[in-house]
Amino acid sequence: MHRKAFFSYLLRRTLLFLLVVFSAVTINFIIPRFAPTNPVREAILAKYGLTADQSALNDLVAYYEEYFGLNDPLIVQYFRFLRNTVRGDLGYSITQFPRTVLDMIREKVVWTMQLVLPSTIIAAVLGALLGALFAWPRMPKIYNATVPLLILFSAIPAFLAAVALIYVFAHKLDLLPLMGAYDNTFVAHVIPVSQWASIPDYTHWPTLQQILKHSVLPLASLILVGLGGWALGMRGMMITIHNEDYMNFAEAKGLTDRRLFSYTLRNALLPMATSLGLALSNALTAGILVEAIFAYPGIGGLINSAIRVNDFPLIYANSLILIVLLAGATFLLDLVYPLLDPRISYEGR
Amino acid sequence: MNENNVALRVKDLHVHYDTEDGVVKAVSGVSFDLHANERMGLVGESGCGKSTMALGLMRLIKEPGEVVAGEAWLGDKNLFALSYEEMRMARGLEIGMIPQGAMNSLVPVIRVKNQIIDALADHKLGLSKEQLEERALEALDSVELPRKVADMYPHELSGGMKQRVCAAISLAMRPKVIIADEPTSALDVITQRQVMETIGRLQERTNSAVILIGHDMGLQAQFVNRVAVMYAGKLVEVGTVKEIFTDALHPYTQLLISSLPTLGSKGVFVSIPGIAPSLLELPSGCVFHPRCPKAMAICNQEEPVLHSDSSGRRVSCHLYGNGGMN
Amino acid sequence: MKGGETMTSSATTQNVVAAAVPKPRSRLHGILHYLKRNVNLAIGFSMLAILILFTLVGAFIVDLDDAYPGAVRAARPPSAEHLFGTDGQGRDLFTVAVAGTWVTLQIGFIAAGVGLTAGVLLGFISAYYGGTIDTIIRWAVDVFMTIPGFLILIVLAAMLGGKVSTVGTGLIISLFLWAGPARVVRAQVLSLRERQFVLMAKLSGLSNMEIIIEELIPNLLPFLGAQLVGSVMSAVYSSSGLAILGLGNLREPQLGTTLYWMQGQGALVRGLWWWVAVPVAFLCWAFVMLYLISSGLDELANPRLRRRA
Repeated sequence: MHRKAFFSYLLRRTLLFLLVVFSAVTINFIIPRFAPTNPVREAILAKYGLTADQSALNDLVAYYEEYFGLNDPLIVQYFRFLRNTVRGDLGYSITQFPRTVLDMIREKVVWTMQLVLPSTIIAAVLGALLGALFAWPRMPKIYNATVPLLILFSAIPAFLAAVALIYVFAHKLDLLPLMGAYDNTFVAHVIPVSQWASIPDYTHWPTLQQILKHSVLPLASLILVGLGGWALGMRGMMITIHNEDYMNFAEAKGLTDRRLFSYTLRNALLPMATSLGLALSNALTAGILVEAIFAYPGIGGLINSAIRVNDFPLIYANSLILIVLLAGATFLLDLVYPLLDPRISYEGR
Repeated sequence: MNENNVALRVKDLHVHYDTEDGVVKAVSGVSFDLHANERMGLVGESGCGKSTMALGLMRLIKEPGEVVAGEAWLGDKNLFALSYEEMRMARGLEIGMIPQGAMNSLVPVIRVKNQIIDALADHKLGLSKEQLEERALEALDSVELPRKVADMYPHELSGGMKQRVCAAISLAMRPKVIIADEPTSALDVITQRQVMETIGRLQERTNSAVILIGHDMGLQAQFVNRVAVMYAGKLVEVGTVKEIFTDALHPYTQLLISSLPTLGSKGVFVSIPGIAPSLLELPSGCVFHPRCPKAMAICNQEEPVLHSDSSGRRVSCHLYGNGGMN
Repeated sequence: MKGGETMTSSATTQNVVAAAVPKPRSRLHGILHYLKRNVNLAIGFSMLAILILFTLVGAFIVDLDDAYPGAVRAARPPSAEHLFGTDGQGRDLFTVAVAGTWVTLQIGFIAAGVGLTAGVLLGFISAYYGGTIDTIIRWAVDVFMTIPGFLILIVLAAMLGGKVSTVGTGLIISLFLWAGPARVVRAQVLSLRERQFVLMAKLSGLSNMEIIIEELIPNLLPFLGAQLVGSVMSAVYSSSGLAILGLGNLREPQLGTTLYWMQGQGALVRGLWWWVAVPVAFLCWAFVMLYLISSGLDELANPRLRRRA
């Protein structure tokens, strides 16, 4: 019925996705070029120290600059950059040369997905349920007492919650591990994906156990913080819908409380679902910081350690990858929503 | 009128809203009898309490409103004495509602068919799934809508079609009383007529009594047998259509009727001087006395009592004191 | 929905309440009365007042030099001499709190202010002139709102090293705060443009500028207020996030940077809990306060009981 409109919607969404990726890539190209510092020189100096033979160092710097194509005209560099990016060649890590950035990312992405995806989904489902229950017409008022707690948790960023949780559970109560993905003395079973990179072997029970144990606190910080938003949002939505004309007429028809709740819920679900994209985006940025706090071996941890050693290509590439992943996820979600709501038209989106 | 044929007897209904500015008396002491199979109109200015009264009868008044006094006898049951569950069952099955035409009364994410079926199913009629489906389709037939509407969503229907679906839902359960609250207010004249005709036909078939709330006197005249006039939360006059239109007793009704433009009359329109009173602070004595052209000394001291005569005519005015009506 | 005005049957409540004319009251009484009802706003503003008071009073009592490493004895727990204790590098945490809060607030408001102004301007231009300009700005807004700004901020901050000033940080963060306001303002201006009172103003001969100032801006104020607070929240989040990664100005005392040092120096392992507690407490206070104010302003802009003239 809305075939033509859907097509134009699809086109616009695809265009947005491409534009976002393109902008991100371009920004990632431009910014380092304007850096006051020369990353290559910085890195080599950091590695070999200032006491080494200066002329030899300069030769080294010049060699690598040539190698990385830093002496070519900007335009040439730009197109080479674009071409490489599309091919998946994101350059080499300066500190862990000759490992490529892509290789390092491949290893860490799994860990980040492990945190971001489950936490977003759990926070959404639990939060929405909680919020819906708040709006049940004849709910005992005690539940309203939890609202301030939810507000508190949803206001603060995940990394603050992380610090608080670490303090309580890891330090004071010593229940859960402080950081990292495995205990210090544990040797995990891994599946190698390349010469240097490997991902955990989830089928090996002790490894899985370790992973779960170390994931509890990071997941908890992300979930706790996300819960409040979903719960309050859902409650507000349920109340708004409850006051709509059609719900009043539904009540006038003599429907049961259960049926009325179900109607309200069904009407509330879709608008709430549209927040998933945003929630994912927030979870990603929050996840980076949480990983930094927990020294978790995901992309956030990678960025964190890359910053400390000034490994610029690593920083830029990570940022780019995350942006692309997020844009992709948002794009997919945007395509799915209209299919779920019988009412949404594709014009004016 | 036959006393035993009363479908709904309302006695001294009072609905108050407890706001931060004070108590708003939306409905003050309304009493009337609605006979079986009868069509009664309920008219009055905006804010006079007609819709509030309807919601009050259905016990759908929400905070900060409250029904503070009154009885509503539907058969042998006082609606206000029922438990929550009993009232819920009564809604739709014994007393139903056709909502305002301006509202979006159908749930957007549920198909029309299911909206009818759910209403039937929740009243424990003991019907099987197939029977319920068939009843739903029959309901659509009864309002002359094509059966394919059943699988559609509300936003796919026009305003008139939606109203007819609402009528179908309400009348599918054959309640004894139906309250139609301005069912055609947002529709164009032609659709208005269609919807009113549909409601009328259905009413004849189900033998329900109808209360038609509105302020379109012309529409009232074409549809109802009797008319009740409300002002500032009070019932001021009740009579047959003919009596109200040609021989109104209450000064307010008289002004109302005379303000209606008629074909062929040109020139200055007569309106009612002054503005409706604040429901927070009703005038003393008769609520209409500040604007009444026939006000007497007693009018701002004593509240007039609703007098009825044997024919069911009622008026609440000091002009027709104790006993005589003319 | 037609014209944005749907009659709800809680409209009956509206009609009834509207039919009851309220008594007029004094301005101050009105504000206080409103605050009593809008609890979030009341608490939020109180928290803000307390924070500002703390910063002002604190600035007078402390010697700002104490906020730098080596100023005082290191790793002392809270005591009479050092109210919040000292950190592992010899900074007095009370001083750090005073200085850091001030820096954080500064960054927040600079970033939000610049971002909001830019956003409002662009939103206006986009809505008023339409055409190609509108399309370009709209796409820019879409892109900026899809890209998680924090990731780009990381890149930017990493490139600039730890040498950016407070104002500089604020300006950088503002780059990602203009998109939200721009979108909101554009939407509001477009919808207001069609409304009756703008047409009336045009008919009575007001110039475009006059229309903007006298008609549009007052109607936009609630939205702008909410956007401002939201932007400040975002700015504080970004700046403390950057700081904790070590991308803030490492030399100046800042709440987030304190967390960075605390993490790098293993504060918890050494049992220096106050080093953790102070920045966390202050940041939490700031976030909760901003959240409450923003939700209070939300309530102000869209009251639950929609009062219509």
